[in-house]
Amino acid sequence: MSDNWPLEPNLSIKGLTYRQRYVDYDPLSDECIARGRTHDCLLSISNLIEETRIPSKQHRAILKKLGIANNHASFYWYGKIPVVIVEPYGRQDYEFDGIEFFRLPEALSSYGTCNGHETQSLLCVHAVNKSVLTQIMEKIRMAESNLPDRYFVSKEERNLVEQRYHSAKGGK
Amino acid sequence: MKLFTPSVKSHHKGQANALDRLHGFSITGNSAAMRQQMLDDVFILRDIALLGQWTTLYASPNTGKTLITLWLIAEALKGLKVDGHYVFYVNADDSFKGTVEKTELAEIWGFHMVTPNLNGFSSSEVPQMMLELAETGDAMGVVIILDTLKKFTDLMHKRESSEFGRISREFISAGGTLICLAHTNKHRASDGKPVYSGTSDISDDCDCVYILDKLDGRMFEDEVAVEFVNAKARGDVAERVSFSYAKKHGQSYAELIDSVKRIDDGKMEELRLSAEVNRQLEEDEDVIVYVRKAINQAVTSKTDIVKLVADETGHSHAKVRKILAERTGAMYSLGHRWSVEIGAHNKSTYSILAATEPAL
Repeated sequence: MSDNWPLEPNLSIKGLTYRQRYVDYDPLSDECIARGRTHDCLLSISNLIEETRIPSKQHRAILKKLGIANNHASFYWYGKIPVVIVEPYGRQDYEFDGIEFFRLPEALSSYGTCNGHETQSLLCVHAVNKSVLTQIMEKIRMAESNLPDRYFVSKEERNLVEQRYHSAKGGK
Repeated sequence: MKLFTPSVKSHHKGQANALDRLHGFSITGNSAAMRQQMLDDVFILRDIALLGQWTTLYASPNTGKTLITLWLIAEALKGLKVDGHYVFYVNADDSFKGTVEKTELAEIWGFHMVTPNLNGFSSSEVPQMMLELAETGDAMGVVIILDTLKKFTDLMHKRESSEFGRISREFISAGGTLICLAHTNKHRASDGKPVYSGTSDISDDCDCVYILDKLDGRMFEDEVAVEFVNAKARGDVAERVSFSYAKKHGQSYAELIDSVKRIDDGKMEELRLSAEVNRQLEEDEDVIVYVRKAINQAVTSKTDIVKLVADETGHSHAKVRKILAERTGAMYSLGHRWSVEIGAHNKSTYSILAATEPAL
């Protein structure tokens, strides 16, 4: 879990983090606990750094090529390479001009199934930067066997989140 | 990132007097916004070319400037220091085969290769595109490498070079990065150093200039050493940087580029010294030949050698005496070519030094 969770005002100077947008609206629900945990896992395995300017010039250049797949977009850096993740509903196949992408495995698909609606997580870069996808895919492949079950939330995890939530709110 | 726009009102000719207009142009008070747009000191070519600057690399043909530049770009891309989507290598000085080989490398490393007459591109469009990038604010983060510069402007023509300089400066001021590869003159300066070709406008206008030169030194037979010597800097770039590469018959371009290596300072100092020794040996060649001839003919005293060699070569006694002294010693690798023994009555006897170490 990120040490900044659940509320770190400094992270929202320029925009909201993934957690603030898609987790903190209902932080104690199993759905949001699992989503936050999955996103943290993705960042730690891939070494992606979240970009909270919405969106930066470099990310906008990718985003405008993603057309109808542009849903639940989030922005990252891999070194100096801009990376965009979109999480559209459904399982349809996409093709984008000038963009290379890969579909994240379920265990690292942050948004996941929401109120019964399935989404997919597509990690996208400019076609010229496709070697970056290979690097990230390799990191994910190495870590995949040790990942927790995407939709399982343990009692301990719930308790831990609850404690952190109350201490962030100023309670005991 | 949006291009910086002054928050003060624009003042146009005819609407205000000159003093008002000058006040209108002032950027004082905008430093915070400008700092946000400022590019970090990031090298696009490590130690040599910074992002947000105009760097020109001068070298004679076949020095390896394209090779080493591409290797340095690959280094930046592999280190994830630069986004290849905004790097454009304009290869206007190559054969079709060369273009294909370099494009294959661009696809592996991830940057854009642009070549005249392919996909409708023409070299003459480059200055206009740079200007448009600057005007629209899209120049920020864009890196353009022009290989070679003479395909984009007439370097011998002052007005054209100066106009190219003006456009390039607009592109750089808007956050772009420009790297130009250009040629040196056929003839070197009196100190043996290469001299850039064309008028001085390009080197005057750009931020950073390096002159590349091959070093003839103690390398393996098929290895070439190249030194980048800084001639102008605006930023924390290196004074000297050196590389080597191995050229073998029948090798592919990918193999050639794989052979590029940085040379460390110690090795470089040794190479520089040996190159200097080689240069001096070449300069002194006729005197050395005649001194050896004299010693072989059993003329071994200093006075006799100087007299004989001065007569044979037409050089002054002083010059022959100086070379005789400089080439005396026991270290063949340092340019010594004979040794001397001082006998009775201070009489010098010279003998030829055997080449025990590899010749420099």
